Amino acid sequence: MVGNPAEAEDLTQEAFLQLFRKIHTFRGDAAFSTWLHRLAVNVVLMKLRKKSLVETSLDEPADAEDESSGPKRDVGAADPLIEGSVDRVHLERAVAELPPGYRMVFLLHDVQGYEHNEIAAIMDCSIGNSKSQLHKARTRLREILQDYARDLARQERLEAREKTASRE
Amino acid sequence: MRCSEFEEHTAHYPEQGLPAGGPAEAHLRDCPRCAVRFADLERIVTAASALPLLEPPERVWIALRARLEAEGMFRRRPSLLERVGVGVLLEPGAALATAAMCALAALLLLLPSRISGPGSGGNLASERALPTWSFPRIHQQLAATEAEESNDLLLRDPAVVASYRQSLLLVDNLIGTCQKSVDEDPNDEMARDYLLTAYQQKADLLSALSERDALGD
Repeated sequence: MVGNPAEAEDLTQEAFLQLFRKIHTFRGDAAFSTWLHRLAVNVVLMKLRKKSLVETSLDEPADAEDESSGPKRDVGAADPLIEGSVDRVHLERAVAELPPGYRMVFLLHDVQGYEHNEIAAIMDCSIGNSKSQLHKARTRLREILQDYARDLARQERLEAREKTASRE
Repeated sequence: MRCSEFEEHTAHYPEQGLPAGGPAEAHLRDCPRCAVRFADLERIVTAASALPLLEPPERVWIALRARLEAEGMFRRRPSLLERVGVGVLLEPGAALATAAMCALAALLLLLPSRISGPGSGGNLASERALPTWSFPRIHQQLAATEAEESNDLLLRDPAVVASYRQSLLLVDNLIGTCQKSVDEDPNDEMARDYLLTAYQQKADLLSALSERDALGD
């Protein structure tokens, strides 16, 4: 989520510390795991806010963000295939580039396997919002991975050119 | 169906699959751009589900425990020495007696020739001090702790109480058996060790119960 193992360890510790501090506030309204996840999510979001990263509201449409942060697409140009760039390393790098709100929903749903109703409870948002955030997250990921695919293709072309030049 | 409609239609794929034979499926067949896009999203979902979930390393839990102890939210389980042994040893009289006996034992071991003079027989083993544990004192202190814990039993979860009583019964039986062996031969070091271990188990059990208290049960 934070893209840095040391920071992730600190936040894990902080989340469990909060758990011990706030366990008395757990009323059993939701499943304990949901409560704990929500607490952890809050710890992470607080940290990200402090770091003044770009913030994504969970209740507002993020279209503006999409337009500004996504790559400019050439109308009529063919989309590059991302097939070669969807490996673990590239995907993890791409996930790290997502805005926090998108990243959180994507990790909870597509990586950890939570359902939208559970994510809604964890993130304190509506189910529709969770679905919409997930769709935007996947679309944004595709764009990032397309960039990687373009870079890979460019690199391969350069290498091929260098090989040809060295032969001549 | 237009591309934008298709995108809207497939926004929640694969949770909501494509209806077979519907306009979305037809569009997917006819529009290469949407087909690529759709395939990419499928690849992302598949790759994401294969990402490993990482467990925090052991140092996280160690550091967490240290912070909880520092904040007084978590009581470190005291060792038997701290719970009963050191309590006995730290009393001035007992501490002096123990120190004297340890010094004597060290002297006996290090300077055998001076101690075992003519006529002494030189049998040092029989002259060595026995372990200095005062079992009656340990028993007394654990009994006091047990009484203290028993006062709060009514406030606890019945399942915890039942498990606690059952464990206590087992450990008390073990103590009884070991104590009997020690009574029969007070110099039997193995029997004393077993008795000490049994008392340690009881101390651990009482510690665990009081820890649950500290965490709010």
